[in-house]
Amino acid sequence: MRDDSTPEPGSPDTPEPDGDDTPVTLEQLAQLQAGTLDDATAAWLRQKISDDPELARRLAALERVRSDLAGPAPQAPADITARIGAALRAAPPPGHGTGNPQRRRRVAALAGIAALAVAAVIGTVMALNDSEQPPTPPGGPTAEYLKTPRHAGMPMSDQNILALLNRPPQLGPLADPQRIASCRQGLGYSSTTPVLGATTLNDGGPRVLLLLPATDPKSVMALLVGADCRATDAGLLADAELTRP
Amino acid sequence: MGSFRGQHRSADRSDDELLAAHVAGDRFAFEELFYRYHHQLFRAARLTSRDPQDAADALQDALLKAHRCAPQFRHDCSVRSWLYRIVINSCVDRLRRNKFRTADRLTEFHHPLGDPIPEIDTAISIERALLGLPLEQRVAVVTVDMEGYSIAETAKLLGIPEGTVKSRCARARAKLAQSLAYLDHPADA
Repeated sequence: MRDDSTPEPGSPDTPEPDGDDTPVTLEQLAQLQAGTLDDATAAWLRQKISDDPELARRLAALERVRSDLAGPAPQAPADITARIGAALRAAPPPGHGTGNPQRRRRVAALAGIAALAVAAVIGTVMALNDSEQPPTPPGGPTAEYLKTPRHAGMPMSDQNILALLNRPPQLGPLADPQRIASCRQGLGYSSTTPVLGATTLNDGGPRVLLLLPATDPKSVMALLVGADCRATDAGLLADAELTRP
Repeated sequence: MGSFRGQHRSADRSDDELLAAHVAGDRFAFEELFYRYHHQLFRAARLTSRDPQDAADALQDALLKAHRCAPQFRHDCSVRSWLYRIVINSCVDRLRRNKFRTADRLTEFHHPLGDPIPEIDTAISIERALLGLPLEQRVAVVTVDMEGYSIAETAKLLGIPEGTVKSRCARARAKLAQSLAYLDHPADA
């Protein structure tokens, strides 16, 4: 990706104003249109355009691009709109799930108490191995399952995933700097993107749960990958965007 | 489309009022908000996604996140801008995660499009040309020229300096003018 900063006066993109023979590029016309040129270069370019119908024609082509882009949005596909509408109707009201931590803790505490009471009655001690809890326990939901929100495919609760932010990453099979750099590239990140947290999971084959920055700084991306994650094949098993605590 | 209870009230309520109603427990307010902007949001998702299916999934993820996180909205921008930003972020994150899968499929857009067939609908030609742009340039020019946000609003939405927005738009427009062959056929304008 090229540098996105505005070109400095005198750079190759901004020729000296006194060079009447200097060819004008399409990129320079686009910079003039976008208002990224300094006053002297812009004035020189406008003069060139007024003297040269071909340049005026090329600038008009750029204006046509803007004009054509400004058209109305086409209709969104009805089936997709209906699907999303149904998903919104089925979604829990705000304040549940990850949206309101205080309320979630209250709900979680009540759910936990209820589930523990059930466990006492039946005399069963439930093993709450959160790191490998199946999404739908065959014997019904455990207390841990009831009180800890989790994303589909994720082997840990949101809460425990976010706790990884507070301890050094355990990269296991990806601990080699070249391997984790390659894996990050495979996931579409820069090889230097910081790993915010990580843990290794071994049940069902070696896997690594990585926490990487999300586009929204208030969130973090949880990415479950295989031990052979690399630039050419990240082997992504599951992913979720979590709101930072 | 948009047939849901409470629709008769939608024209009476602003975006802010609908969002506040949603937070207060109105079960249909957020859906009203979605239907108010669903065409624009789907177009934005489509142009920042690998394919229509990914766009639909990213759009749904984004709206569910907005639905869930509405109480945290600080009203430091318009509700429309807030929704748009969440959708764009969702699509960009998804593209990044799926980059290893998308590399081959996006390659087709990185080649020159050749002479456009005059009968092709302008909107389709523009979409194809937009998909040929680098993602950052595409997001900037879609936000400014297609969705009509100002440079300042776009900079805030995307979290980048205003000069960077202008620069990305300039590069994008220059490439679009070439790929759409507008430089060859100005008289068609």
